[in-house]
Amino acid sequence: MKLISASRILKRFGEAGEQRAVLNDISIDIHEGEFVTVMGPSGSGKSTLMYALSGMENLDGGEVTFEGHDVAELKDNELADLRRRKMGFVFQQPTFLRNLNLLDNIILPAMRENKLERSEIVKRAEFLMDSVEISELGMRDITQVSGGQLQRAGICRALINSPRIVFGDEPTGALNSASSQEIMNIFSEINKKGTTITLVTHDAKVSAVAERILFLSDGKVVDEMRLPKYEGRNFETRTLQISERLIELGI
Amino acid sequence: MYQRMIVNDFKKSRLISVSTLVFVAVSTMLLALAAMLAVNLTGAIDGLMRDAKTPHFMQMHSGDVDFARLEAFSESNAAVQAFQVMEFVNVEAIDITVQQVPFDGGVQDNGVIKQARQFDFLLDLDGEMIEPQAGEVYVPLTYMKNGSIKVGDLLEFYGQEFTVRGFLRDSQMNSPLSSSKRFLISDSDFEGIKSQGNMEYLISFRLNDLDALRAFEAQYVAAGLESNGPTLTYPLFRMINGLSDGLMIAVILLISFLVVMVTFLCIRFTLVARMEDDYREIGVLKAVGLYNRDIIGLYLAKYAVIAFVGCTMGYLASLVLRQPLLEDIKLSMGAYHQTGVEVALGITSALMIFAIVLGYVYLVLRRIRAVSVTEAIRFGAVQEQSQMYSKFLLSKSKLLSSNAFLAVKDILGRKKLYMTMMLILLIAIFMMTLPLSLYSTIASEHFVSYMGVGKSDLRIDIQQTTQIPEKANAIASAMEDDLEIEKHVVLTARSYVVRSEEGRESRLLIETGDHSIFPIVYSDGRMPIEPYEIALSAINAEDLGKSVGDNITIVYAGEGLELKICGVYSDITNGGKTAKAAFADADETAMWSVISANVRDNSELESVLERYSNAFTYAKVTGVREYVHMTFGSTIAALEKASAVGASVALFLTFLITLLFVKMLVAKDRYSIGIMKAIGYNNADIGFQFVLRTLLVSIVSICLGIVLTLTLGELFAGLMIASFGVTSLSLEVNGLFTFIIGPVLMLMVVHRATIIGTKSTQTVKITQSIKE
Ligand SMILES: Nc1ncnc2c1ncn2[C@@H]1O[C@H](COP(=O)(O)OP(=O)(O)O)[C@@H](O)[C@H]1O
Ligand SMILES: [Mg+2]
Repeated sequence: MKLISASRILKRFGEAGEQRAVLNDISIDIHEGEFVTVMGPSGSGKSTLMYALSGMENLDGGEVTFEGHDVAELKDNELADLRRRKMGFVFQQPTFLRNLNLLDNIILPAMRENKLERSEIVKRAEFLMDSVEISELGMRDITQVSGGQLQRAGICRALINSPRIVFGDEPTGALNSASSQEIMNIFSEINKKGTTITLVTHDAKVSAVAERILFLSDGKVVDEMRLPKYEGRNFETRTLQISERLIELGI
Repeated sequence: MYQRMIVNDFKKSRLISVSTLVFVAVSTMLLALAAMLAVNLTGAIDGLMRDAKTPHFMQMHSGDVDFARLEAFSESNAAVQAFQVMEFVNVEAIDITVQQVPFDGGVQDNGVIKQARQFDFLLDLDGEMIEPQAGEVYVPLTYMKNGSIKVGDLLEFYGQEFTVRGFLRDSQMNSPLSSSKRFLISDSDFEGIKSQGNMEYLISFRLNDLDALRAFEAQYVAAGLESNGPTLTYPLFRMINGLSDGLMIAVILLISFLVVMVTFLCIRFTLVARMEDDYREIGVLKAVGLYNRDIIGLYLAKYAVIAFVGCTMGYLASLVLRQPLLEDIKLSMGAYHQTGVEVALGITSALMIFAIVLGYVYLVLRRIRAVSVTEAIRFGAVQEQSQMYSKFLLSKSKLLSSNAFLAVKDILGRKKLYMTMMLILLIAIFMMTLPLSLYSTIASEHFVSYMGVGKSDLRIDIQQTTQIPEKANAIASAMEDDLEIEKHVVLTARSYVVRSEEGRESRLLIETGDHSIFPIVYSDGRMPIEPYEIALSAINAEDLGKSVGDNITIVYAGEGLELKICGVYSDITNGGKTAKAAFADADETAMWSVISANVRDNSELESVLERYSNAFTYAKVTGVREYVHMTFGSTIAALEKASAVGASVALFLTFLITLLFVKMLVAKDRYSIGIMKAIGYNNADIGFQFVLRTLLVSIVSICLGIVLTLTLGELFAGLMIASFGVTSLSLEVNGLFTFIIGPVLMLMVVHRATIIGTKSTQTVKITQSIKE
């Protein structure tokens, strides 16, 4: 089933007259339960594509639908509801409210949602934190933890309302390869439980856990690669395959 | 380079620059106005009293006058420059008609007089001495101001017709606060009317040297000269002339003081916020070798420009606004312009504001010295302290919604910033409620009881007639049987001789009777209850050098009677020189009697008043409310104006400050706003958080402001009303406004300003704000 469908989307930046198409006529479908990564050189429009798919950036052409609804038609409040209930977003740089501690930052979307008992929310946050191994850090200020720990907290926040899809814009970009691998294992675990994942990365090892890889260059999807769902096996081979394709494409 | 930086900076922070400019301008304007009005008022009073040659000492007297003896006293006294006795014919209100209709200026003691020959002149509105023709009358200015008489009207005194030719300025009795009003007619008409009314003599002196006044007063009393009536002096005339406008100036001064404080707070919070934003740049400038001095200079230059422009604008505005506010002074006392002095004072005020603003900016900027280069470059922003409030947790909070939690958390985490806003709003509240409370205090019926008059529904005065106690008793016994009268009391005033320890004698007016029925407020001690007790007015207490607990000796029935002073009170009646005692005296020679009474049913007051004034034609019957209105009307109106100005300035300040504050917060919070939007908070959530922040702060301000008005306000009001001779005062707070309308207006303004200030959060783009 199609969860997100983008057709012929167009996004331009720059002053009138010398505008540049950053997303140039892109069409993609993302299906329920898929694990997709987007790869491409710096400045090719990967982040812009993530923002466009999640409804955070307006388009200059084409349309994005989420569960069949045109995102551009949604009112401001409906968009906010959508982001809070059905999407999670993990940014490249940690983005947290500076005056709240880690736990409060994580539960913030759930507290606004206000569906569960507060103690239930805290329990869920603790469960998520436990699964990414930061359960001890809930009471810490965000200045008192490392970048990798912050990124894990970002994942917990993205998952707190049990979204249908999680977007990640180079979620491991700022991490060393060991923590990067752990984070990828977490995403893989989440995906196995049914959550759709869409990540931007330029690391072949990250893409190795995905089942579909989109290659972006100059605002166009120039190639696509499909792999069997990752079961924890053949990691080296998959990485190699992806690297080879990147070289072929000159990315 | 400075020029370019300043221009750029203005563009970058237009709202802050404009607000600071407005505050500086308003401060300058108010201060300059207060200063200019004050010199104008004193100049005008001096001018009027100079041109009219106001008496230095005046004894009012009803009864026979021994002219030869007075003449001799005056001749032999070296201090006396000039002396005259004027005849003043009292005309009761029922004997006056205006355009065939009975006159309603009845609470004043109206009378006719002819123009003086030596001094104490009555002047026309051009400041010229009036010489009325036969059949013409000049009317006290008060009646023009309250609109009861117009030029050309037909006036009748005792059935004799006069045409109103114009209005007069009376340097003694201009103010509604003085109870007598003099109508001026020609000498020949006066001779005709003289025999009809009660004659009162105004025995007046001009002295060579005003400093000798006290000594002269004592000599006059010691000589045992005519003294059946109040004694009035030059300083008292001066005070009464200046009171209403003086009070307005005092309120403007108070408001200007508060606005200056707001200006400081505003500069402080915008400047500190600005320095926080520029922290890194300051570090860089230091790193490349600029002196602290140079960096401070960069900021100071901008404020110098703002302060200069603001002060100039404020000064110019004060020149324009001065005119309407001067209207009343000009009308009452004439245009005694001292343009040079006024301009100089205005400019001095502007320079003063300029200097203190820059001085203050410099003080705030000194913290630039403490910026450490390495820290500034490394961390960029000043680390906000959140440690203290790390216990206040969303995960632990049971009641607050997440929006409310975020609002409260923000306030706790930026205590200093919100404290500044709270202080400013506090001042605004104060500015709104204090002048208004002052106004309602003076406008209240109780106010008279601070000034020596008990609060009752009606009062009946009997004076300048014979057999006063007998007549008073007749009225009292009529009241005894009157079902519509709830309670009443007779107080009778007689003049007694007081003997000092050294055996010197002086005179003292004592009102005897039961002072507990309509009590007045005593600034010290309590009312006289026992026959051996006496209470003195503040002026008498000072003159006699006595205070509560001391004894004085009076001559009573030919013998010395020792009385114990049990209380001191403020008094504006009879030149402030009265006393109250409880002993009984049946002597027939009384100076006046006052019967005070309350009616059972207030709606019947008018008919009761009419009944008594018809039944007892020798008495003056007045409703106290009307009396207060006539006496304090102009003061009340001036205060009403001032409190309207105060409330408008306060609401305007509130709006501007809140807008400024919110816009600054939005700019600082763009990053957080972006994050909240990204995780699914909508525009309404974010707007609500801001509204909650500002409303919470203003609610705290309002509560504190009300407490402050009730406590500190009483102190302020006491200081201002002290000019009335009132020494102890409890502020009568206008409850409806102070507790309901004022706060609601304030919250509405804050709410509106917040909504407008947070408009821009709706366009905060998540993708951009997060990259910042
Ligand atoms: N808000 C913006 N305004 C102008 N140009 C932008 C904006 N956001 C992105 N761009 C430009 O669009 C291009 C693609 O950016 P981005 O999507 O961030 O690339 P990537 O994430 O692949 O590195 C870049 O050239 C960038 O400079
Ligand atoms: Mg990017």
